[in-house]
Amino acid sequence: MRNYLNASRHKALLVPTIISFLLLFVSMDVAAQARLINGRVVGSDQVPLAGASVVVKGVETGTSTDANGRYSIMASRGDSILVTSIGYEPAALVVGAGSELNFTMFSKATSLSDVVVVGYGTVRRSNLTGAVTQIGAKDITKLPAANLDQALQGNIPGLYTQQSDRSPGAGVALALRGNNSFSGNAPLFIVDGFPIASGGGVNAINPNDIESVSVLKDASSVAIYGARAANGVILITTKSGKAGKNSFDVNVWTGFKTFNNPIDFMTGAQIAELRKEAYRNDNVNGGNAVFRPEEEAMLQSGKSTNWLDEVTGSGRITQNIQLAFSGGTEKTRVFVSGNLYNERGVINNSDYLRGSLRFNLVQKIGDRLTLMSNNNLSLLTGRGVTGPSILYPAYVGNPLAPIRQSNGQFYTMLIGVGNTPWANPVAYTELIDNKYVQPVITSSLALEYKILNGLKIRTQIGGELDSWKENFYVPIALSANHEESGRVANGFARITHNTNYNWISETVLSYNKRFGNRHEVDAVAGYSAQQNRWERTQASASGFPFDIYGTWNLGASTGTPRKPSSDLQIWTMNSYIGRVIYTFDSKYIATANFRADGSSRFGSNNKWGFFPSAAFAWRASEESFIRNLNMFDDLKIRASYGLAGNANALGVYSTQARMSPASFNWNGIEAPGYYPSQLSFDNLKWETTKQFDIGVDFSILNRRLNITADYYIKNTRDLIRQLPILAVSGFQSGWANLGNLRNKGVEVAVKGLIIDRELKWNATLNLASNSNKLTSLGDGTERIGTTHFVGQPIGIGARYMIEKIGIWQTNEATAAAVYGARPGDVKYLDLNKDNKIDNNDRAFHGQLFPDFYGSLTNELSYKGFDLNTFFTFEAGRTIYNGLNYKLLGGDGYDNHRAEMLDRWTPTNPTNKYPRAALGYSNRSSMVSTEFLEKADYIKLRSITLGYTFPASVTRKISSNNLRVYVTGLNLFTITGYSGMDPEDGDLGNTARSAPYPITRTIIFGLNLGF
Amino acid sequence: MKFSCYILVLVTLLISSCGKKFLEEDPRTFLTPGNFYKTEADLQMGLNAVYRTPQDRYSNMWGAPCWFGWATDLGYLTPANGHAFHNQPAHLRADFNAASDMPWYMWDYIYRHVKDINFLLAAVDQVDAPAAAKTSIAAQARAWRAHLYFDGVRIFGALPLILEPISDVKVLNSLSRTPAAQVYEQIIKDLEFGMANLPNSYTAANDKGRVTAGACAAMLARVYITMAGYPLRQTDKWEKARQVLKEFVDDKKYGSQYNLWPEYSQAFADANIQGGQEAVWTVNFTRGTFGQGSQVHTDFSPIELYYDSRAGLTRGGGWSNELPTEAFLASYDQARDKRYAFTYWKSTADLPVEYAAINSSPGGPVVFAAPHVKKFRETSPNDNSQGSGLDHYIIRYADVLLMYAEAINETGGANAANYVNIVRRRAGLDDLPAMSQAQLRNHLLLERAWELCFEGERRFELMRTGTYFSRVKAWNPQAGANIVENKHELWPVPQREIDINQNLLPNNPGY
Repeated sequence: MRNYLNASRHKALLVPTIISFLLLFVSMDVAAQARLINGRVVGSDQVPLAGASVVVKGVETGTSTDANGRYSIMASRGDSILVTSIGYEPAALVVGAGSELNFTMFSKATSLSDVVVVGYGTVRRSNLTGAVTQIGAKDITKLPAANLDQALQGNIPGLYTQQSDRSPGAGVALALRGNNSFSGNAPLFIVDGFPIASGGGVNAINPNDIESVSVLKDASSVAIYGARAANGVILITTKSGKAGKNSFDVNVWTGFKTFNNPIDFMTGAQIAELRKEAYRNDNVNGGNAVFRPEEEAMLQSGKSTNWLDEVTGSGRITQNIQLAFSGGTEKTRVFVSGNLYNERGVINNSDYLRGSLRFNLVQKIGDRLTLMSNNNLSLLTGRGVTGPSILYPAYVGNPLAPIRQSNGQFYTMLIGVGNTPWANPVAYTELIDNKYVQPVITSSLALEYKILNGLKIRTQIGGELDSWKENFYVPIALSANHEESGRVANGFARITHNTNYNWISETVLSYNKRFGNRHEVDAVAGYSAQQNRWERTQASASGFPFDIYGTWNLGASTGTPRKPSSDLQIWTMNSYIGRVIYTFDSKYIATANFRADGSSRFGSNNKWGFFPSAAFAWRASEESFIRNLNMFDDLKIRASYGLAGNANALGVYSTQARMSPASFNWNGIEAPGYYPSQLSFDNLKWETTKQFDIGVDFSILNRRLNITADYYIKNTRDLIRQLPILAVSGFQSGWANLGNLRNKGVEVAVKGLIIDRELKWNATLNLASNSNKLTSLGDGTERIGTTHFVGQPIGIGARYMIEKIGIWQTNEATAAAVYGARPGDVKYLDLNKDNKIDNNDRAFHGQLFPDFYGSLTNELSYKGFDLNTFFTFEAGRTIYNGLNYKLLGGDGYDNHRAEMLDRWTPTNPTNKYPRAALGYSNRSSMVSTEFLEKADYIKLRSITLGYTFPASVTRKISSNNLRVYVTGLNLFTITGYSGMDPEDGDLGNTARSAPYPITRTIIFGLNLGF
Repeated sequence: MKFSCYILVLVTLLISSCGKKFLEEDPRTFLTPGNFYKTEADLQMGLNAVYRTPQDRYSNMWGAPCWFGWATDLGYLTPANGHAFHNQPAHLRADFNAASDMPWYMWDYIYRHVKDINFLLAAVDQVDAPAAAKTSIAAQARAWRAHLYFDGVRIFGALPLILEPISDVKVLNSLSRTPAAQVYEQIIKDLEFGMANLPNSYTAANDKGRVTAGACAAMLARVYITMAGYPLRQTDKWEKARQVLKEFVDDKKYGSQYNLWPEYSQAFADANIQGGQEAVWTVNFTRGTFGQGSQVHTDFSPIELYYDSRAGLTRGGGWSNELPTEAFLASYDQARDKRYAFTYWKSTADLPVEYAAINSSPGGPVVFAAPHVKKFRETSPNDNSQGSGLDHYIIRYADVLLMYAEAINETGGANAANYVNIVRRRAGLDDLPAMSQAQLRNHLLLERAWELCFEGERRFELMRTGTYFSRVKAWNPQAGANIVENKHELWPVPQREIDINQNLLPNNPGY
């Protein structure tokens, strides 16, 4: 079944949803007669809340909930019952006709009294002056994600996520508030105060261990992370034990993946017909050479090979087992967890596994000293090969090629002219052995000492060890055809070992004090030093007598010795930090931040960068004239301005001059020689982003509708780019801080409690829009090659192309001939009217970045049932789907899409698909708008239906919580995109890469708490 | 308060552990000029890289062996060649302009290697090593710099003269072109430094091919006779050239090892080139070492041989990039001049022993569409990715003799023909009849062509003798149809450089 519908429908869906969301607030009737009301209080995660205080408003006495969250209290119709619990926002319901009132407490994230994690500390939400989105465990585990990247999808307004790699355990491309640099947009990840430096560091985190994720977006929030903060900062806080509340939770789920290919391919017979037509059209008499004997045999037997089907399978298991203990006393609090995540890919013989163990401890020693330690050990392993040798040939592979020869050996797949062999993807999935193992250890120890009331000093040492090792073996049967390892005979074995060591030491003094009733000061000052050491060792060998050794006896090679290689990169940072938050009368809040960063990456003349920022917030709802409006439960207006840097745009050692080897052979004796190959760039420094942000947070309708909106302008200057230098220097290019770009945009988050009865309906809408423009290249030039153009979004060169305007028709033969084309060929716009189609006819078409994107989450609960739907959507972006250059090529050699059955013929004068032709002679240009497609989509990313068993059941197994659920992932996508998935990135015509299949997953899960 | 004391101690330790050094990079997996040039051995390694310089000019740049033979009276580009960057300088049509690749490749080549030398020279001063060793290294490096600038000034005319490492973009972008006469002054200085500080020969076998005092002297003579002709016409330089050449040839000031091989063919046998008796300054190539092999043989070898299924590159096939003009072939005494027989072939039948298998196979010998140059051949060719080990002359003794004859003739001396006759006798030709100064001048242009054709200097010989336009017009139909006087004598300064630094304008006349 196909779930890909017409793209134009998505707007129709959105509008009523938003309207219902804003307007569906239910009024309630009133009467009076005291009677016993009872009910249950649960958290938003359906876990019963014990010890919550339950009172009738206006009455002195009250009660509290039992271990199962149950209460009973006397109240009259019309009375308000108020429930409060630490860490939750107070909830109130009015007594109606019924005798049961159940409460679901608001998650912490929306609570004003809650604290928000910010850089080097926490602040009360009410005192927050910056643009920060904090999400909790519930949001993170909503998607059964392999890693945090995946868990962040759609959850943060302004964080654009793109999952174009869907292989097991793959990461997601993240860009917060637009693209800031020519050199990547990765935000800075900080886990429990530790800036993660390696890829493994983020992947090693078990999403189930995360208490909260705080995404810092505006300048005043990020600037405290200085030179690394321009792409935004993501603060991750892992769980810790709670005093007096021991719990043991078991979360288990198992899912099954299916692959439903959204692309229809031609059958072998159809391909054969296409090929014959191509020969006829181009007046080539191919004779007996049109089909190879193997193809003839396939045709005779009516068989064809769907390579994509052959390398994929359904029912692949994905599973997760999480055991966690949390608890403690006033003195000692611990959180211990063990997790196993296992995912098998739909591509055969590919999988990913993560096992992790966490131990978090908080120990009070005496009255003043607290020791904290967070420790995680993860083991990541993966298996499988993708890329050019499997995915690409699986898409474009000739369906007339057999998988195996008649002698049982794998067939070497051939394509048309020149007979360049593609890889046989089945052979590659079955024979190549590629595994990696990656243990990652992170550990930290912190001591906090209370010097005076309100004055604390905290010092922390943290370390990370990330050791990635890959063993790659191409067996004898394949190695001579394996392009990536250099087509060597008799097997190819390679071991690569990358190790990353990272340590940080930080000491922070913090001070918090109220002066009188109206003044409050919160200040921090600190120092930090960090060092990262990355090592790489690689050895390979080829020429083995047999395959038995695999990679485990490189010395058994009898082939030409291959050189081993090794590398070492070290970077260091030194930083000074300062921040003051001053609050006056709970109404006016001012924040000033400062950070000085010294980095080894910076040129010797620019070792230190300074990053100040400031913010101001006005809690208007505390003013009597606003309060008297009786409209806002809360209203805050925020503004901030400041600087942040992007130091990582500078590679390690990139400012260093280099000598390169050029040995000289003196009469048979090779003598080493060296020459200067790169200049030093002593002035090279970080890129700087100045950001202005203005935002508003407000709550109305008894806090049932909460809206946060932000507008920002980010001006980035000193872009690091390579520019040509006068070759008279002996060098052709150099690096410089030259160029400016701007991102500006809006973000809106709307949270509403739409129905608040026994049936509860919470909804969250996240929306963001960003526009990006390269404003200057700093040296008067207007473009960099044809990749970047001033006045356009960065990278717009990928949308600078010739326009397809149709197909030349029979009656246009004369006009077509001017361009060397003929009826049936693709017709392009001759923009400069010079009777040639060439690079001078290029113009900008389509968009690189979306107009807007976001997500919609609906949470419904009724009695024990809960239903959660999670949609993500985006509009405006285009994808360049160059894969169709082959799949709509028209030669009948490579695989073709079924759409090519509707190709142009004299009797089918379509303007969509050109005629059958040999050697792409039906297209005079490779890159054109023909392959540019809209990427608009709405995706039901997940839907979960759960049932929580009543206490009467759970009591029997001594459990306090038992929930079962079923989740569907990616059940449907509404899009007009013709490729695999609208989250794909651009695909080049001949890039020889192809997107990983999109899968649908059904998951069955169980939460059990004791 | 005990704990707080501990913490304060800890904090102090942490902060003090990170001094200024903490932020300094110390790369270990690559060399920097800062951590490299420390010892005499390091300087030698820097010099080793400098010795690779001419491999690009004479072989590795696309078709480089033919660049200064195309659009001359002797050679033209095969019509089968479809590369625009080859066709532009060979045909001299309007599309040979500042945006063409070839001038850019040459410009980039010159300055890339001048930079290597300037960095090395700057380091020589800094390194603590025996003075003699430092002087020798500097002298060799400066000789190569002279060689580079000599090419540069002859190809581009005035060009920026850079003598030290330079990296400041501001300085680079304010540079302008140094007048040709000033560039020549520096070339002379560098060569004179080599003559004064380099030995006549090296004793160690491995040092074969190093630049000698004689190499510098011969190059200086070439520089002088170039300055004496077009465009500088400093005719006083004839006398200077004659003096240097007299010291070289008659006085044996630079050693008595120089002589002609008895047979012309012997001069081109690989074993006889580098360090051989005819070698004055050579380029060393090494077979089978990627990047150090020579492409000279493949540039001149027949494409028919490459495409013949019985042959291919490993049997001596190539790209036919430069073919001899008909007029030039007709100029030989084809029957008697041994150089003619050795230099050309028309089919594999011309090499009966080597191509016996092909010649006797059913298809018969491979016949070429036009005569090809076989002067630079390995008898057991390698495939072209590795290149051949055949070394190449920058200056050989026959050239020195012919230059000497020319200098004597131009300064009114009487015995010029004697030195020409040494060369002619080896070629199997009679001594020259009595000739006037003008007659001998004209004859030398031909004699040089017969003796030295396709070795990389022809363009510059025509240029300095003022015969470039007329000879190309008359002898080379390919370039003669398009050549423009007072334009094509120089190549344009690459547009890429002008785009960065407008001070390089105006470009050479006509571009």
